Amino acid sequence: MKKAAVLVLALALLLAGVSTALAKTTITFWYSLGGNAGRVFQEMVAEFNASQDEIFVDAVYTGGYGETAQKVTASLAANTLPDGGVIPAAPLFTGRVGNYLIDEYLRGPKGLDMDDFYEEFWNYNKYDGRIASLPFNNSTPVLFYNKDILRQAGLEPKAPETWDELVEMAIHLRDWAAQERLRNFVPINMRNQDWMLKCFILQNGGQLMNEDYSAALINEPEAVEAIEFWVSLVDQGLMPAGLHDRARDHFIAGNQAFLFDSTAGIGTIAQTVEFDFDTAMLPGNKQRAVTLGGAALTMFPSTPERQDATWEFLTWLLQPENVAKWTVQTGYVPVRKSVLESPEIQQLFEEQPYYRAAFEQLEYVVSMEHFWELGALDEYLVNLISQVEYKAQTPQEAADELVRLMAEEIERNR
Amino acid sequence: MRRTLVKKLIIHLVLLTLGAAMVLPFLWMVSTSLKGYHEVFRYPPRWIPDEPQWRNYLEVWKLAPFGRFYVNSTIVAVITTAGQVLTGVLAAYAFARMEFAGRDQIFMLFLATLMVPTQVTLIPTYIVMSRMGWIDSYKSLIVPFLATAFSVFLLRQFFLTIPKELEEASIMDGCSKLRFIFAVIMPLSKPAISSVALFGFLGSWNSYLWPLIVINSNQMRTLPIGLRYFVSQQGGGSEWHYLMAASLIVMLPVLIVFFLAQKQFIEGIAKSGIKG
Repeated sequence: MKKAAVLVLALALLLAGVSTALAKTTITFWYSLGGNAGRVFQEMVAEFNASQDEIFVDAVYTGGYGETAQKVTASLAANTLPDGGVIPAAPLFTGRVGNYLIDEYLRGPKGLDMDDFYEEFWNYNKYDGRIASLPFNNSTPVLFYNKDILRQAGLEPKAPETWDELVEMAIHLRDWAAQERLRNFVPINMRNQDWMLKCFILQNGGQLMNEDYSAALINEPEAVEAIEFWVSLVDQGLMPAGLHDRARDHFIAGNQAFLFDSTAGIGTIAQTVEFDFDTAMLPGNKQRAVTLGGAALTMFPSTPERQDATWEFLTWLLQPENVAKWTVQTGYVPVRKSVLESPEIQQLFEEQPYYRAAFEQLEYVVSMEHFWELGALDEYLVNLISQVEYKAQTPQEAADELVRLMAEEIERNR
Repeated sequence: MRRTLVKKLIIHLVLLTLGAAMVLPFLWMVSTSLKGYHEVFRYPPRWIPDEPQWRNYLEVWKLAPFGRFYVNSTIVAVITTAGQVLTGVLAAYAFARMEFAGRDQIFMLFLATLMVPTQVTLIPTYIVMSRMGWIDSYKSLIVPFLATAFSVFLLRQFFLTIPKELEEASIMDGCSKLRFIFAVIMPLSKPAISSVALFGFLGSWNSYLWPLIVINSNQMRTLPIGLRYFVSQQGGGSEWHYLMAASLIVMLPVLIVFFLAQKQFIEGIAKSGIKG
């Protein structure tokens, strides 16, 4: 008798447990964020899971951008996709296969205040003119400069505003270093050189692709001029040829005055350098311009119930207070305009002023939509840079070749 | 006498230099694993950290479920290795000793698979695994690697050096083919088998991309994926000190296996006809 009662009780408890578990929607969410950013993301997921009891997010780390892209490609082919994720080049895995769930939800009753996001960030998340993912972990290039070196060389510790000022300061630094016999010193270097060259082209009023992304425009005069400017930096001994992947280490070691690098590097640099440094917007020429990098939030098709749950989680991540938290703890740029005014960010500016330039230049962001040949373009740009730096080709020749290769690539995929 | 001494000295000097070149990165790894976050980037770099951070090892163990990863890696590597040795021995015997039509052609075809880069077969294999319902399980980590052309090739070359008379004599004494393989060939081929086993074990232990792609849950992951938790995209701050501590934890069993088996390992390479 007693045994039976215990059994019934146990069964009832079990059923209760099962039913609450059933009421909960579990969604699988892949994220391509390692290191500190990965940990902050895990914490946010835990916070979301604790904040309500309808949805449980099972967040799975999927490695770096390259590996995650391969994993998503394989899952797309075998139809084993998760419910959503922080995925690199997300529009290529959604919009390109006709998945515009994000666009549909954005227009639905539970949409986001789209005006509070920078227009160019939406552009970055489009495929074929339509939004296919959400901005989240984005970064832009920024200019780091070593104030101590500028002072030692007798310059005002201020960042250059234009290309001309940059060259002028760099020449002064080059001559100063020669006089001081600083053999390891270089005035300028750039990390992620393809990304930086894109910015230079845009700053000179050039364009990378035509409006419908069917042809590269890098051999047009404004773009070629930008490449020529790049080469002139090398020719005048202001920037090393090649060696771009060592740029950050060289800057950290105090052997380089100007570093063009991602805003995502601010945290690391701030924690490691032992000299006085600051950041500034990239210098402009005909205009100011920076391009956008980073992955995006997205959703893959499943059941309406799970899609709703995924949307709930995505919009939670993009609530202003969570964007502020994400920004402060990772150094990724704030994707919502209102966040810039938030007390958290204002406090960050006060404590770590070098974030100011990174976040305030967001109004100068110029972005491209995602198109299939984007990866090829980056690869060809890296190749172009080494061709022109080592004088294997003139800027015009290299640009013509890139445009031809892109045309072939696009032709193949049509 | 004098000349041999000088000769010996020169040889050892060269060997020591080369040895140092091999060992230095490892020592640097140990040094970095004991540094603090700031110290990693200090310039000029220092070999001995100011205050060795032994707690890095503890932190790492806590930041990802390395215990579970260890169990997974061990299960997968051991079964994969056993499978490769077994299929390798049987296939190598057939290719080395049995006579059948198209034997050499089939062997060439087998060898040709060594030329196919893994990236090419990645997605097709994934789709097969997914159709079998094996995604996110040990099966998907083990089955595709149970037979490799490399192990068959290495063992076949070794079996060719075993005198034919041995087999003839055994068969005369009433020994079956299978028994001959297990009772005569295998004990004779210890060096080759141990190098196949070591290569198989290392390959499985270090495998990264495939486990990352077929495994979705944290409980099923293997050690190399655990290492990736400390690497960050866009250079936004990889945690080198943790990464190196974790790498050492991951490398330890492999180092032990290598020290225990290094004699067989080297013999296997030297005797199977692969010469550099």
